[in-house]
Parts: sequence; C-alpha cells; structure tokens
Amino acid sequence: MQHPASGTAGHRRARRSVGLLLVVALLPFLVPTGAPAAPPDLQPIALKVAQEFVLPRYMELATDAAAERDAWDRFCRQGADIAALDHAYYETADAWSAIEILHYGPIGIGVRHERMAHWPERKNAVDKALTALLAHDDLAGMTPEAFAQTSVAGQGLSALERLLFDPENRQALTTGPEAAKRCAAGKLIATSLATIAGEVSLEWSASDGPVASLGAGDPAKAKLMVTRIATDLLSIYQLVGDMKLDAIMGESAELARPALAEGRRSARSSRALQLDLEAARELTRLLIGTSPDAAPILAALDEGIVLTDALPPDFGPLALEPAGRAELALIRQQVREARDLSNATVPAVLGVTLGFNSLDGD
Amino acid sequence: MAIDRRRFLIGAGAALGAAFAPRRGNADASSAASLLYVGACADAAGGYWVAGFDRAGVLSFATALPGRGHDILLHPDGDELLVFARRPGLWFVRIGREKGELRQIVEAAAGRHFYGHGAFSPDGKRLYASENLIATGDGLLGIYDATDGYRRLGEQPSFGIGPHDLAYLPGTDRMVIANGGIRTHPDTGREILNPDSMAPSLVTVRPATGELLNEVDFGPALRTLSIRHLAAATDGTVAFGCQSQGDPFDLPPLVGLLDPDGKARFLDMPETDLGALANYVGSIELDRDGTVVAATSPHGGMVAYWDRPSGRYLGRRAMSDVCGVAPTAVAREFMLTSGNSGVELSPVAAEALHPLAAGLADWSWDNHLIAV
Repeated sequence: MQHPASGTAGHRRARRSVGLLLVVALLPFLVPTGAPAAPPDLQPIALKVAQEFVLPRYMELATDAAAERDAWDRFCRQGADIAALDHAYYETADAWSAIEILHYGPIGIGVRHERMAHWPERKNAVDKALTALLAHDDLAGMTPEAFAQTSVAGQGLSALERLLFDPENRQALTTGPEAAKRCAAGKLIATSLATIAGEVSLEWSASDGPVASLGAGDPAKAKLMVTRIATDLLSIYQLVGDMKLDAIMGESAELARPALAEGRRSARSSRALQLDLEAARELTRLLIGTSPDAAPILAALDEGIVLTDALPPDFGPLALEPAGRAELALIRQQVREARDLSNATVPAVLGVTLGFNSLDGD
Repeated sequence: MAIDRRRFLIGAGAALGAAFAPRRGNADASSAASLLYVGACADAAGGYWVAGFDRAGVLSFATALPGRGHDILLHPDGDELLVFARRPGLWFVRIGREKGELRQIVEAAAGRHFYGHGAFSPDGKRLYASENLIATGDGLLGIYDATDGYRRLGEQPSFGIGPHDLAYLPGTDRMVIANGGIRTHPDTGREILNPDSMAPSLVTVRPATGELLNEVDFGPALRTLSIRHLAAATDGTVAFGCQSQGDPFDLPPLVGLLDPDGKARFLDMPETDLGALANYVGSIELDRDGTVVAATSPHGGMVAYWDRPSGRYLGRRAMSDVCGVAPTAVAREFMLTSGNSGVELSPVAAEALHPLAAGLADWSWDNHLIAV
C-alpha cells in the first residue's frame, strides 16, 4: 500500500477536481432552486409489495401465532403432548422469519419487532429476562398488560424457544414443581406473540392503514413505503451476512461460535437463514423485478437458497471444521453479491434515496 | 473521492432565500418559529446538498455541495456556516447563514484530509478542523485563519488517531477532541486499517498553545469503542457518543459524560434498550437548557434520552434511520432528521413524534443537524 506524504494518485486527482470547482463554482449562477428530482410513479410497486408480500405474510404470522397461543392454552389446561407445542413453535417461527425483514409499518411502532424476537442476544439478555419472569410469584395471574411491562428480551420467540427447547427447561416444563409456572410463562409469551401479530396484521389492512392510504392515491405515501421497505431489504443483508453468518463463523474455525446461531436450540438456524434469503428474493422481485438489473440479484439469492437446502438443521457446528466452513462461505459469498448488487441498483431503479445513515453512517 | 462536477455547477448558485432570526438556543419560546435547522442531505437523484428549514417545515435554502456533507458549524459572529465534507473529506465550504449562498470552498492541505468536523475559537478568529495526516495516520487539528479566507496557518497533534468531533468548553480556551481511534486511508475509503490496535481517547487541549491538558481512555476492554461525537454544556460537561467496532454480540456502553474535572463516566440504560441502539450512536446533542442528553442510533432506528443532572435514563423513541438531532428553542425538545423518514419533532416527555411538512421527506437527511 502506498502512503506518500503528498497523497496518492487518486487523491491528487480528486484534489484537482476540487480546485477546478473552486474557480468556477463561485461565479454567479442563475439556475433556480435545488429541489430533489421527482421520483417515478411508485404507487403500483407499493401496492404490489403490500398485497403480495406484506399482507399475506402478516396474516400467516397472525394465524400461526394464534394457533400457538391456543396450543399453549391446551397444554397448560390438559397437559397435551409437548410435540404440539414444538409444531406450533416451528410454524410461528417460520412465519416470523418470512417477515422479520420488515421494520416499516405497524411492526415498527413501539418495540413490537423486539417483542416478537430478541436476536442477536447480547449479555444473556434472554436468559436473564426468562429467569426474572420465572421468579414472579403469580405468573398464572399476570395480565398481558403486566407482562408487556417486563423485559422485551423475555417476551418473544427467543424466550419461548429457550423455555421449550433448552433441555433443562423442557424437562421442567413437563414434570416437577415448576411445570405449572413454566407453562404459565409460555402461555404469556405465546399470548403476547399472538396479540402483536394480530394487531399488526389488522393495522396493515385497516381502513386507515398503510394499504388504504395507498389506494387514496397519495404519491408521498407510496414513496415513503417503497423507500422504507427498500431500506429494510438492504438492511437484511447486514443482518444475515454480518450477524447470522460472519459472527458465527468467526475469522477461523478456532474463533467460530456455533452457540450464537439464531434458533440453534430448536435446530432451525438453517431454516431461518433460508427464509431470510427467500424474503429478500421476493421483495427484490416485487420492488424491481421488471428491471433487467434484478436478474443477477435474484440469481445470487437463488443460489444462496439452494445452498441452504444442503445444510443440516443447525448450521452452527459447520463453522468448526474446514469443509463446513467452505459450505457456509459459499452462502456468504452469495449474500455479499446480492448485497453489493442491491446497494448499487435498487435505489437507482426505484429513484429513491435510502436511509444511508443506517446503511453507512459515520 | 468522486465529485460530480457537472451536477455541482448546476446547483452551486441555487439557494432559496428566506429570512430568519439569528438566535441559537434562545430561552424565549417565542423564538421557536425563527430558529433555523440546517443539515446535509441528498436528493433522489443522488445529488448532495445542505439545506435549512424552520419549525414549520418550510425550506429556507438548499445549496448544492461538491459531495456528501457531514457536520455544519456556525461562526460565532452568526453570519455564516461551514459545511464539512464527510470523511475522508477534501473540502469544507462557507455558506451564508440566511440564504445559504456559497461563498468559498476550502480544500484540504496536501497529504491531509478532513474528518468531517471542526470548531471555532471563542473569538471566531480561528477554525480548528479534525484532520488525518495520510502518510502516517496521525490525528491533527488543522488551524485556519477565519479572518483571512480560511488560510491554513498550520497544524498541531490531536493526541490520538482518527480525531472526529471537536467541542470547545463554553467560556474557556479549552477544547475536547474525540479521537475515534480508527486509522483509515483515502485509498481504502472508510476501511478500518487498525482493527487490532484501535486507540480511542477523549482529550482536552488548549488549542492556542497546543498543550495536552487531559486524556481519558476507557482501557483495553473498550479498545474497540470508537468515541465519535460530542456535545458541550455550559457548565463544562461534555456528552459523548460512541460506536463499537468490536464483537457485534458484545454490549458496550455507548453514551457518557466527561465531567468538568476531566473524569468520564457512562450513562446507564436498560440492557435491552442499549441493545436496541445496535452498538452505534450517530449523533449526540443536549437540549436548549443542557439538561437532557439525546443520542441517536440510525442502525437501531432509535433516539434515547437521559436527564443529564441525575444521569437518569428517560426512555427511547423509534424513528427509522434517525441520526440528525438538534435542540429546539423549547426546553426538553429535539428536532430529529432521518435518511428515509423526513423530519420529526420529539418532546422528550411524549412518546409520540410529530412529523414536519411532508416535503422535507423528499430529502434524505444525513448524519448531523444544527439549530442556528
């Protein structure tokens, strides 16, 4: 690397450009105003995203979360087969993975997104929240409103997974003196998930909700929705690439941390990864699918999705050995390619400027 | 750095004028309407601007920039603003405070680049800019004569790597420097060249003499916590905001206070709320009276508030891509800007944010906002 005191060639070129600007930019110009260029018509794009992506996925989430709440209710009342809880968890977790990409809209109000799932988990936040919850004297009598005031780390799928799939917790849920209390905790969490999912689904389709506002023909609303959802799309690559893959793989097998993989207790870390990529693919198709620029992004995501098919249910242990790391590196490569291509083309195709502070702050 | 010369030439003379009263932080709430908020921003076509608007959301001016801007600085005389290029920056520009007309472009000295921030001496005669000596990565304060077309007078060490924000302690001749501890090079853009040897520090200097008066570092456990932005209160306390470059699964504190006696402490907040800041604070500010600290996290889409005298955490509010924050003329209230959600007013006591005119959302607002 070259570090001359006077700067590199590229540096010098840029400096000359500034010099030229200095000379000419101070001349009087009579060109009026600096208003932003008008964006293209985003109304049909926004409607398509809402109708084909947002509404059906939140509806699925609401349905699955309600079924999970009912499963916990039955389990607590009748001591039904715990496999029913497992199944209900998988369904809800899948539905959440399919829409967690979205922060825009009703899910972004308050801390709903964090209350649905708390990942990445830092400083054992979920464990601490669950321990505090289980220390409560009267969980069976705790109201949903009181539960909502407890730590958000203990309110969502991450805590429910811990309660249901962690071997010690699973044992204590089915037998022993704490079973009823733990069941009540699970029911509180599942009820909260169902409530939030139901509210978000209803609010999206309400007469004064985001979809209705699009139908009213307000271009500013369409632009805001497309801009925010496109920002969410580009942000998912950071979550998947930097957190779900890079942080687990570490720089070497010795530095790998498979225990941090999302959903590893329920053996669905690979599933979560695949559903994120699938959501990114579908959003890309809906946002810019008519542009030729979409094809290479979709191809990279398709390749990534196919590669995740070959993973074991929990990919974390693969990070510990060379062949497994190579498998994960291939997926990471596709994620990076999709990210780089998307950063370069999605805003340009849509004619919007995305939230660059969250993508590239200083 | 790529500069779109054509676009800049088209926009260089473009500024929409409107008058506003030159009072910053006036305790009189009746001045609220006349305070101007100025931030760097981008349009949908990818052009970079600096724009000013009032509390009603009315745009006062929009002036094209040679590239992406970062912080804005008000000259103590109140007549003009400086807009710094985002790091690694090769320019800052002078613009008129009222109409935003371009007055001068000042280039970085050979072998140096700007880091995006600066500070005026209390008498307004000197400008100090945070700079990088590219060849060695040493942090510098570039010294400029504000009475003579910002002629470069020289430089002095920042006593650290990667100096970013600077803040004079009000009513004194002392300045606090946030040395981010990150070494970069223009050839590799914003890539961190010293991830294993970061050395962030908060130093206090006397710029007139170049003396190092105080230095605070957070020790090896927080070596990857880059100290980035500052906000000074009139009693000499400085709030600082940090960005973690370390393990994303760690949860380091991000906001603290440097007391007038030179000791630093972090402000507490619930761990789940700290997690929501996503290890990243983009801007930090104090309200009109200096009693509330606001820290924004565009990565987390959150702004968090603390009561400064007691250190008590006051809660957080969600706003997508929020980063710019400035005090309004009303106590315990902030103006917030976003890269994708426009501009909103946030009374600290209220959960709800209040959007300003929808037209401001046509712009993508960048890192910082100031009230002038």
